Parts: sequence; structure tokens; C-alpha cells
Amino acid sequence: MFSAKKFLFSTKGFVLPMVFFLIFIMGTFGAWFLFSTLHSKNTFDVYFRDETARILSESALAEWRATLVSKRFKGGEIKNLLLNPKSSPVAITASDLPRTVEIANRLAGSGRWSLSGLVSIRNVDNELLETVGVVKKKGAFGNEYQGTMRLTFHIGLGSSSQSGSALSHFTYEFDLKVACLRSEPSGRTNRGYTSSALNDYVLYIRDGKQELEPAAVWTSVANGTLTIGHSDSNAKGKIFLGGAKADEIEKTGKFIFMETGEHLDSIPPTPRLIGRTGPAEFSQFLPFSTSLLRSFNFLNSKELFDGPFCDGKVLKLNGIYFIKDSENGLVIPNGLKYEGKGVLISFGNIRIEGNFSKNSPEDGPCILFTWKGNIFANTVIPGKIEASLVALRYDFNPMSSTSPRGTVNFSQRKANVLGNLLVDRLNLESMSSSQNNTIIYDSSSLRGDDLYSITVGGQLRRLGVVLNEKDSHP
Amino acid sequence: MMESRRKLCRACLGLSLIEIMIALVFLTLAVVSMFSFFSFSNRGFGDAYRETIARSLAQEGLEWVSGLGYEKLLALQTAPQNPLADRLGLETFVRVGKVVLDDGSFIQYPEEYRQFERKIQIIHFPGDRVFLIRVTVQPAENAIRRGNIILEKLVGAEYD
Repeated sequence: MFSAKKFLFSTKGFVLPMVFFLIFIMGTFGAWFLFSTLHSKNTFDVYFRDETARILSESALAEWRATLVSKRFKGGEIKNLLLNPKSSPVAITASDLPRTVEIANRLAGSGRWSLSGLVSIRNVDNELLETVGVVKKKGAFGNEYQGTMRLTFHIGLGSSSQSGSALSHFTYEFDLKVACLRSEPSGRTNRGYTSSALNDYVLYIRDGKQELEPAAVWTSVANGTLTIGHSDSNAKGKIFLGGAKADEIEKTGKFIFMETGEHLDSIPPTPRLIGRTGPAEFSQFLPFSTSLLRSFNFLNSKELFDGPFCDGKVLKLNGIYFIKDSENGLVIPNGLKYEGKGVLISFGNIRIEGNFSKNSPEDGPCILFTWKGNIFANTVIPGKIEASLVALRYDFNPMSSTSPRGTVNFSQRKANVLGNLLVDRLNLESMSSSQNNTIIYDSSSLRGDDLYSITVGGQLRRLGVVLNEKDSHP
Repeated sequence: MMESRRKLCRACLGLSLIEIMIALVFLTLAVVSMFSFFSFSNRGFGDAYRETIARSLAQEGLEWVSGLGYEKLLALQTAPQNPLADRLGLETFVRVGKVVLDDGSFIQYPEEYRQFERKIQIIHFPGDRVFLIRVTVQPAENAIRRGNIILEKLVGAEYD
């Protein structure tokens, strides 16, 4: 019969239960300790995995962006997307990123990762409305716009059968500017002087009539000559000699508009006159004035040449660069070359010390443009300039003969230009009076299909990260 | 009365040698297994801790170099005397000791960090306009069970 008294007070056989109880307690604490250790290890592993995903994503971004203009924009879906920003996003696959694939294989193991991406354009502003004085003006031409380029990468780590595997999503956004550098004249019919219209001319003298009418002007080049030529006779530039005052009634009759490959040595010009302009309001012609399309702003020349755009020998051009320094302007050292296509706008003067040429024949157009000053060429040595020289003052006033006119000053040295010349006044007396000065229209750069510069901002505008999303397995 | 008291004392005398021996065997087995249990856990925990330090050091090197950007790396690589190599000892293992700042002052790493050495490699792929940054961290005195920690990252041109 069971006796509670006997059970409670008996010491017989109590050691073993006590030992088992002790082992149970120790086992429980031990298991808890092991569990917490493994949990800590797993926490580290998750952190490592997420960091690996981030490294792969940033590598993919770096690789994709590195040849954005030089390779990826050359054609295909990306070019189509950039010129038609409302079209469907374009997929980025691992095959587009061979270097990133190599890294992923080494960091995560072959077959233990997945990578996909998408590029899309957002926040598209294709109006580019700017207020000039009190007037709101639409600045966009053709497919020009500013917007945001969004790159999204989805990185999965671990094999797809692994229960813990999940996708991490990384989103990067950058400013995007698409500016027209060249356009077919037929696409500009009845649109007045758009920015790219300056490419049509080999010589454009806005205040030409007033400057060139007096016969005395031509004596300054009496022993020298000025040849206006073309690199391709099938793609000639036009000559425009403007100068009618705004209050003159028959404005159209005062514009000379011709195509010529001959010497321009008299006024009125002896070469065949093939037409006259329509009543265009040339006095307000200020190309590339839309600030919203500027790719990069620089405080001064030093900032431009010390930055990532120049290695001391070659200036990398892509888009519209603006140099703010109105006092010292833009100074181009002798022997500098450029690659790419773009516009250098200086608020102040532009000084070209000597030679300034293309790095390869495919480069260009390169447009040197001063808004408020003059261009001084050959300031150190006589050199060849393979660029468009534009000195059209923003404050040009045809009504006032004393208001400043933009010119190119060749420092009494030989003018040797492959490009074109667009000025308020030609300033013949600044050219060599003993040599043959030449302005050759760069047909291959200035004529051709529509050309857009596509610039993606260097700085990251927005970053979005979703790590380890369990609902989306690779 | 006497009979019942005798029965109670017999109950008190219940600790037999066999019972104690069995208890000791169980206890010894439990303690031994618990000890190896704790030892295993501690080792795992320590490994994770040191691995995290190694990983942090690798990541630090990776971010430090990649933060310079493609253009700066290119300029440094083509410079006659690469200041990056002077400072980081590229291509060789360098014992992690301190971070020297631009003004010459330095920050000492904690004791645990100084048990590692780090190698930074920078490989240029001019055609792709990218640099591959590879950072390898290894324990100086077998402080970590696992081998090296290697991290890699691409740095690409931002202005194409």
C-alpha cells in the first residue's frame, strides 16, 4: 500500500532522480547556449549575404554605367528607350555584365546566385519650360528632355532549392539629360533658329551688313585671303550675313544666304547667291540657352580640366558643359585634344592658346560658345582649331551700333578652322594679313542624322534597398 | 513503536554503492558532453566573431579603395609613384595596425583587429572601363579556423 510519509522521508534511491534532474537542467541551458550561438552565427551569415548582394549590385551598376555612352547607347533597345523615354523598360541580364558574373561566381559560388535588372526612365520633362524675363518659353526640341534614369537590380544568393534563399532589390536613380547637338534641317522647318541650326552654317555673321559693307574693311586682308571651304563638297554649309536693323521694313532683302565653296572677298559676294532667308528673328538667336539641358556646370577652367573629364591631354566631351567664370572665361591650352561630342559654353571669354583638335576623326562636333565675351584664338602660337567657334552675345542689340558684338580674334595669326564660325562680327583685321586664312566647314561632324548627347549624372540621386525579400525567391 | 522506528532507519540507509556509482557515471557523461557542447559553442561563437572582424577589414579596404572612384584610381595608377601603393602596400599582405590619416595622425585598430593582415589588389580592365578591387584578409596567427576572406568589387567610370 502506498505511503506518502514513507515516500517523502525515504532516502532510498533519491540520488539518481536528482542526477537526472541536474542533467536535464544542464542539458536545457546547454542547448539554449548552443542555439543562441548558432543564432548569432546565422545573424552574421545574413549580414554577410546581404552585404555580398550589395557588393554584387554595386558592381553590376558600375560595370553597366562604365560604358554607357561609348557602347550601350550605340544602338538597340537602350538607345530606343533613351530617345523614347516612355517606352517599356529594358531588361539587364547577366550576359550584359561579364565582369560581375565572374565576381558573383567567386563570391557566391557558381550556380548559387541570380542577377537580373531593369532600366527605365522616369520623371520625364520634355517641355523644359523656362521663364525668360516675363515670358515662359518651351526649351525642348525634338526628343530633348530631362528626366531620371532608374536602374533596378535583383540579386539572389543561395541555390533556388535552399529554403533561406531570397531576392534583394537595389534601385539607383541618376539625373538624365538628353540634348540635341545636331538635327536634319528638314526637321526644323518653321521652327525658327533652334540650337542645332548653327551647324547649318559655315559662316554666320549676325551683324554682317554693318561690318562688311564699308569697303575699308577688306583692305585689312589685302595681302592675305580668307577661304571659306567645305570638307565634303556634297555637304556644304551656308553663309549668312545678317545685319538689317529691326526697324527696317524689308528685312528679308537684307539677309544674304548662300552656299559657296569659293573665296569670300567682296561685298556683295561674287559667288552665286542661291537664296535669301525668310523673316527669321535672328537677333534672338541664342543656341543652347536652356539651362535645364546642361550636363555639367564648372566654376572655372581649372575645375573642368582637373576633373574626371580631362587627363591633361584629352578632354572628354559628352553633352553641354557650362563654365561660369565670367572674369577669366574658358582657357584651352595649346595641344589639347577632345573626344566625344558636345558643347562648351563659357559665360566669359574663350582663349584658345594654339592647336585644339579631335582625338580621332569620329569625334565632334565640338562647339565653343561664348555668351558674354569674345573668342581669342592663337593666343600663344598659330594653331589649327577643329571646332565650331560661336561668339553670339546674349545681349546683342541690332538697334544700337555701340552695343557689344561678339567676335573671334585670331591674334593677327593665320585663321585655320575646321568647323564653322558664328559671330556677331567677323573681325577680319584680327586674321593674318599675309597668309591664307581658312574656315573649312566640317561636313562630317556638322551634317548628318539627328545627334543627341545623353548625359547621366555622376552623383546618385536616390538609392532604394529591399534586402532578403522572402516572397521573391530567385 | 520500536518496530516502526527500525523500519524508518532502514529507509534512511538506502544509499547503496551501486546507486552512487550509477549516478556518478551519468553525471560524468553529462558533464563531459556538456563541456564539449560548451567548447563547440564557444569556438563557433569565437569563429563568427573573428570572421566578422576579418570581413569588416576586407569590406573597409574594399570601400576605401572603391570610394576613390575610377578616375582617381586611374590617375593614381598611372602616376610615377603611386601614393596608394605607398600607403596601402598594394599586392602584398600588410599587418593591420593603424589607419594613417591625411594629416599624418593615425587611429589604432583594436587588439582583435591586429591579428589580421590584408592584401589589396587593383586590376584594371581598360576596355570595360572598370577596376576590379580585390581585398584578401588572412589571420596572422591562425586565429581563425576558416581560411582567407576575399571580397571583390567593380569600380567603373562614372563619366563616359
